[in-house]
Amino acid sequence: MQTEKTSVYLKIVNDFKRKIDLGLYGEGEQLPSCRDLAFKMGINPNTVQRAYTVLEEGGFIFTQPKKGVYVAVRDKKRYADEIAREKLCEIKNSGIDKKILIKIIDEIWGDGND
Amino acid sequence: MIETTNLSKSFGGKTVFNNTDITVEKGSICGLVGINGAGKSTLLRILSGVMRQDGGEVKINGERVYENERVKSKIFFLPDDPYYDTGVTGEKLKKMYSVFYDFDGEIFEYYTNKFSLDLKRPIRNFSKGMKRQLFISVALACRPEYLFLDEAFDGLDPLARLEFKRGLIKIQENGCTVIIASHSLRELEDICDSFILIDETNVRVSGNIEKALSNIFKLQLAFRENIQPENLPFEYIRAEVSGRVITVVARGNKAEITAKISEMKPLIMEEIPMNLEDLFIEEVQERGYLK
Repeated sequence: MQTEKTSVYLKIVNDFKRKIDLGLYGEGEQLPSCRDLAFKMGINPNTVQRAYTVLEEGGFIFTQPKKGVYVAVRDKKRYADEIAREKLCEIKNSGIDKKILIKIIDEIWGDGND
Repeated sequence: MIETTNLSKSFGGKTVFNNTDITVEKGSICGLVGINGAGKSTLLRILSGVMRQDGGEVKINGERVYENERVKSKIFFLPDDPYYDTGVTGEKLKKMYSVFYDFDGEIFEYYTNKFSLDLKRPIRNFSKGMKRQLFISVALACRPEYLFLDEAFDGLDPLARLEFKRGLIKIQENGCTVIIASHSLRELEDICDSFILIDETNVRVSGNIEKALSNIFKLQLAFRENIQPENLPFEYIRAEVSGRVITVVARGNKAEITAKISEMKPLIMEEIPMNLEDLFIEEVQERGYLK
């Protein structure tokens, strides 16, 4: 089996992001505890903890002390901002002229009305 | 905590360690990696007091290890090829280890059951993997404060590996510090929180795995103009050119370097994720190994 070639904690982060996006974990649903997930996967608990911290910082999950980790109710608009920012950085790196990019955006939105 | 200061060791004129300082924090699961002959087994032998260093200090819990029975009773060293008398069975092994260690029969039974080992059969009739499973069961049942494992994953099937890693998580929860020498870098990356990479005579890199991985990165670049790696505005470890695509490995501040590249308006700038195995390969290639 070919595994995705990236560090272990990023794999956990991406896996949960995907599952949350797909709705496999609904809003407010409890995630396995750090220790349980680590034990199940045979992964160092510190690594799982780091992944959970990143997910929490990204607004995907929240921790209730002594209770557990839950899927957060996400601000869709804020999330959209993040996606746009990420994509635009990529586009900027491609070396495109800003004026041309704005023109493309206007085209996609249709006459710049919306 | 495990600490060596100015550790030196040579065999027949070949220096294995030269003023080597190593620290492993208490409760850490540490992966010990290095090319064949780098001195991984030697280090484990010295740390467990089986072998004496030529110079420098080796301390565990602040005490010297060599010929110190009190410290040594807290250490379990599982060599690559553990010794056993002919005719010894799992049951006899249990009795032998109960003399020296605070042996937990329930833990032993738990793992030998999991691994479906027949404790009445002489070990010499076991396969390599079964021997490994049996000694791992012994090691976990001895509940050491320090566990040193040489080529720990050798011969274990995937399920046995998972069970073994779970066992390591359990003893880590009880405060055990583990050092695992292995070439199975994928397994190490799963279970370890820190690592030590040794080369010919010293430690090359060590510390937190994630931190080390964030300090080295690989980029795939392509430009409109014909740009050679030498023209890139930053220092790199290694570069490969394939057509118009440059793959470059560099160390340092990623944000700064990618900003510099952005100014050159690349057609492609993509980061290729690196894992412990990539890090290992870059580090040892830099030293000119197997070139």
